[in-house]
Amino acid sequence: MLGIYNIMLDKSNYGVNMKKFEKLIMFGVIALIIGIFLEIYFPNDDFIPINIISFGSAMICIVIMFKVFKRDQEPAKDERIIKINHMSLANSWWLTYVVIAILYWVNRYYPMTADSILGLVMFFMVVTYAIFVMYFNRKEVSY
Amino acid sequence: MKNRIKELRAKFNLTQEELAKRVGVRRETIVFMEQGKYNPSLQLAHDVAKVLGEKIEDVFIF
Repeated sequence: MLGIYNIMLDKSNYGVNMKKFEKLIMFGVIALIIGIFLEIYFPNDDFIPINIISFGSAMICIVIMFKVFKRDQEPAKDERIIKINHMSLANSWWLTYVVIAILYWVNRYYPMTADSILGLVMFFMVVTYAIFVMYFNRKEVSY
Repeated sequence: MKNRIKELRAKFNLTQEELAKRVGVRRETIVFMEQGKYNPSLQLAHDVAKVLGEKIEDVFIF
């Protein structure tokens, strides 16, 4: 964790190095995906997947919290960033809705546990939100 | 939407960073605006035009 903190202290124009910030988020997302994959395909061994998922979630939370606390070094209100956040949330919400609809039909033919459905939906929303933020940061925003 | 931000910035010898600070946005937003990849709100367009000493219609070309 100290290593992560040191990497994020590497300052750029606005105090937090965005490239490294994005890399750390991606690392957390990859850890989450690997953990979920292991949990689904190797259900007998819970210890490793749960630790990987916890590590991924913790990493994403810490990086986002660090970013929030460092926000005072940046302009308070950047309309482009606000638009990107709104668009990412909206898209993530719709995708999650589609996944829930798909899971509803999957569950009718291949019953799933409430645990797995809730876990999937919870992580899917966070992960798609992070991915959309990165995507819109690189793409032109015009609405 | 095309604009003359880069040209007017050069005229006033302003960096993207300085312009961004004056209008209260990130430098990346100014970069995207200059490239015509981001359409600013009326408020931001007004602020940019004011800093560059021009009318909105002279900075942003519709």
